Amino acid sequence: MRWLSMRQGNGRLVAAYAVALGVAYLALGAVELALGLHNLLWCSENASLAGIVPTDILGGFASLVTGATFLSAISVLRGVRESWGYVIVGLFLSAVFGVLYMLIVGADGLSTWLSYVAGEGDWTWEWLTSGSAGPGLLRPEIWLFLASLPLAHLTLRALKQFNVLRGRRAQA
Amino acid sequence: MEKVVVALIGNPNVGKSQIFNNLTGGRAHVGNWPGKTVEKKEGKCVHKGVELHIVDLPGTYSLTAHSIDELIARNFIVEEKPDVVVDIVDASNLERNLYLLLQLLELEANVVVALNKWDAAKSLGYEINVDELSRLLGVPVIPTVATEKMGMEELKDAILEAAKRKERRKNIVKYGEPFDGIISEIASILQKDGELSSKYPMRWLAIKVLEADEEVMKTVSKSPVYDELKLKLEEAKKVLGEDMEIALAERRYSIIAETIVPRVLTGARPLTLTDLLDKAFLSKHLGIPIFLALWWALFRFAFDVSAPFSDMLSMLFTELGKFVSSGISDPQLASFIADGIFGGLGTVLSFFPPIFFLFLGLAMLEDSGYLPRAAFVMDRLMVKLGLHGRSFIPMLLGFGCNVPAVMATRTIEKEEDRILTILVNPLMSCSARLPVYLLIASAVLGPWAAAATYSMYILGIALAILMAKLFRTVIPYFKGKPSPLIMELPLYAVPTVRTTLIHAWERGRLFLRKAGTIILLVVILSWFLSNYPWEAVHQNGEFVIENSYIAQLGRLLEPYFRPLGFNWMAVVALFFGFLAKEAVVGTFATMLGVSEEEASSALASAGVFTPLTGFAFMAFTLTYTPCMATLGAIYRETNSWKWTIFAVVYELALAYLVALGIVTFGRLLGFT
Amino acid sequence: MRVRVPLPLLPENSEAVVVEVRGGWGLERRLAELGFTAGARVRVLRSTGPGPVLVLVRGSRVALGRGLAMRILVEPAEGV
Repeated sequence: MRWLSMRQGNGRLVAAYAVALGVAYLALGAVELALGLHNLLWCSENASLAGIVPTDILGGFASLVTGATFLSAISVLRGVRESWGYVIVGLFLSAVFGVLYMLIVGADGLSTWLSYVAGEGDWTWEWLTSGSAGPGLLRPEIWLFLASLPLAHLTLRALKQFNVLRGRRAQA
Repeated sequence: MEKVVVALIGNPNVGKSQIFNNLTGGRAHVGNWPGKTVEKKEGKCVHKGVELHIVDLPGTYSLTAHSIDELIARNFIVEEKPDVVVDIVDASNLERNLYLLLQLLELEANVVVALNKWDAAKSLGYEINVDELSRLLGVPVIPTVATEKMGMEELKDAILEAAKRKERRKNIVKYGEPFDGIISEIASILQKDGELSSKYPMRWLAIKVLEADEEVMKTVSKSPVYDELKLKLEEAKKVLGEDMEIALAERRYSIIAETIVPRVLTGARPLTLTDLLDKAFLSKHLGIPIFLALWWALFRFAFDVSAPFSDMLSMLFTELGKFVSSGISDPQLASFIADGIFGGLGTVLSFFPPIFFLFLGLAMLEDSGYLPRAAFVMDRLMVKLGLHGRSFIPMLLGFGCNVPAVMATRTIEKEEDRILTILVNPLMSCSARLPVYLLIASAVLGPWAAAATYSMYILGIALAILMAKLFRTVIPYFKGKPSPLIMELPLYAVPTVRTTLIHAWERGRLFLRKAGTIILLVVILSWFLSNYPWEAVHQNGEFVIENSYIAQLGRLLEPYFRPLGFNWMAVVALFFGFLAKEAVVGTFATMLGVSEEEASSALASAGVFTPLTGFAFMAFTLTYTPCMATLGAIYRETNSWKWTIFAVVYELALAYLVALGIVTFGRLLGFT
Repeated sequence: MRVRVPLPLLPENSEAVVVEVRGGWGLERRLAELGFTAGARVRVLRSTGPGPVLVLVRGSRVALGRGLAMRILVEPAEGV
């Protein structure tokens, strides 16, 4: 199955990219999880790293999982074609959470606007950086998702090239 | 206008709902099949001046008498005799889908085949000779791609043409000897019974008799020809062997594999996207974590993104209520309209956004083909807990809201497994209980607040496992192991926006109708109980809840709750929690005369709870009767008062025991 | 000599032909409906560790509980 082997140029780039993202997500997830547990067990008020990494036990877990999935793509340097599956799923998870947090920031904005309209509060732009999704748009998962987009492009190209995907609608 | 009745049938996952939506424009009348809990969908479509009345039959692999779904589908075809039956066949899965088709031909239904997912088949590398297939089977075959609405016009044309066909072609599928000989012998015996021969297709009936089909045997045993039949069957057994049902199943597949498929299907690519994705989703180590992560995303999506919409609806109805009642002079009527009716409507509708978003997310997971993978990885764990593999969806949904969770148990086939899951589900701490935990915990538990809250979730899971095990061993109805997993994993596909939205909307609307009316009624009831006797409660513009009926009720029940350390206020709060768990916070606020934000500190200073009794109260909230909406859903899904009442009683008892246990144990340790 | 092996014991990605489906009335029939009949060609897609088994049969992927799958006896096929 040479054509999907990651040993060739393009494949190697994808694998390295995936691994890099994997490490980033793992680190992020570990810190979020640790902060969250710290809050829970030592009952301190909400600490957060540099004001950017939120304390979020389950969110941290999710990032760890995304990281682990990306890292599994490494097994492909051995020529195992299925690792492309790990890359795709990693991209998928990255997108799910990236978009999710963006939506939540949007919802926070909508809430702020609502209470302003109802006369219960003033209009602020606070919701952009602080809200239900922790540091709002500064949330690292959003940036990592954006960083994963080029990888998504590369992967899509590779899959089309190797005939795994055909046409617009991916149904296989 | 001429009217044609069209039945839609097909294997699960073939895109039947999509085709139904395409034909009916997404407008469906949803109900239940008479006497059953299975959903019945009907719709209309007008084509070339003819009205097509479309009935969606349950998705099924076969037409035996062994499951309700199959019986419903079969009986509809035999008894209602629809003008046309459209069998939706998955082109990317041709071989297996043809099995049902053969059975439909046995039934002598007027079949039109919609060969759906044509694009998926192409992308898998398949080439299907549609003309040859049509010729071999003797029925029209129309290639379609439902997701892109391709082939719909041709399908409608074919339906009309088939309906006009006066001479119903009897497509006899030959099973070869010795089957055919015996079948015709049995058929000729059956022919002698005028009643049977006028109602059923003879060859089909003969085949069913041979298979010892339960439903058919019930009917046939009353026939005068029964004795003759029995003799013939004994003879047949000697020739064909004991299990003729299996023998015939094998024969059908042989025909498909040897005479149909080779002439019709070619090609197949070695590697598919589905295989790649499964590598990760079904991974031994990553499978479950990925699932849990996606689940967390679903909840965040359903609750955080929907929050502003809920707020909007509440605000809207509050304002409307104020507006309408401002024109009314009588204070009682004004309050009734503003707080009772509009307040009630606002409450009901504020539930809708999170539930709709939950269903939306769930529909996306389902339509993409992912959900069976989740069932796959969770199966082992579920079975160990005494639950069916598919129980995991309702159990996890329960953490968001128990109402859609209970509704989701529909996918569990076996009744016993389904009811067990429903009974245990409310122990999953739904999101409405969270504000209650936070309120009490922050009031009396100080630094341990967060940990105590998390412990409620864990307690809920532990109790659920315990109860599942207990019910399985103690209640005879549930005895035995959960049924094993047999499940098809469809190909992954990108869900269509329209279908997914329709899916979610249908289920959300159902919730509104059923649970909504109950919630509204109860809100009005509680309005009454907390506002009357009017003068006593409304003194000098103040709201004195201590004088209301509800407070009287609370004081009446107080002695029963004293062992738990709950006073009348707690009892009243629990009562309101019965309608909706979120109401507990508001109730405390009202009773203490403060706003909801200040409730926590007010609670602390009023000394209603000690740390110990507060913790016990949290546990009680977790465990006691499900809210009204959930009860409504439980009644609807089980169709039985017995189980609904059982759910109420056992949970109340369990809550009492658990709270009592906590208080007793705590006192032993020296807490008050 | 015909070698009969329970389905889950086959290595991943190997092909086999169904010889016999043992036991339980209801289950045997359900399996037959899905295509697990004598003579059917199957490919084991996933069989590692405890937990259900994933099998390719009649062109579709079917997940089976391990205990259930153990009742399906197959004969490993030579070549693909």
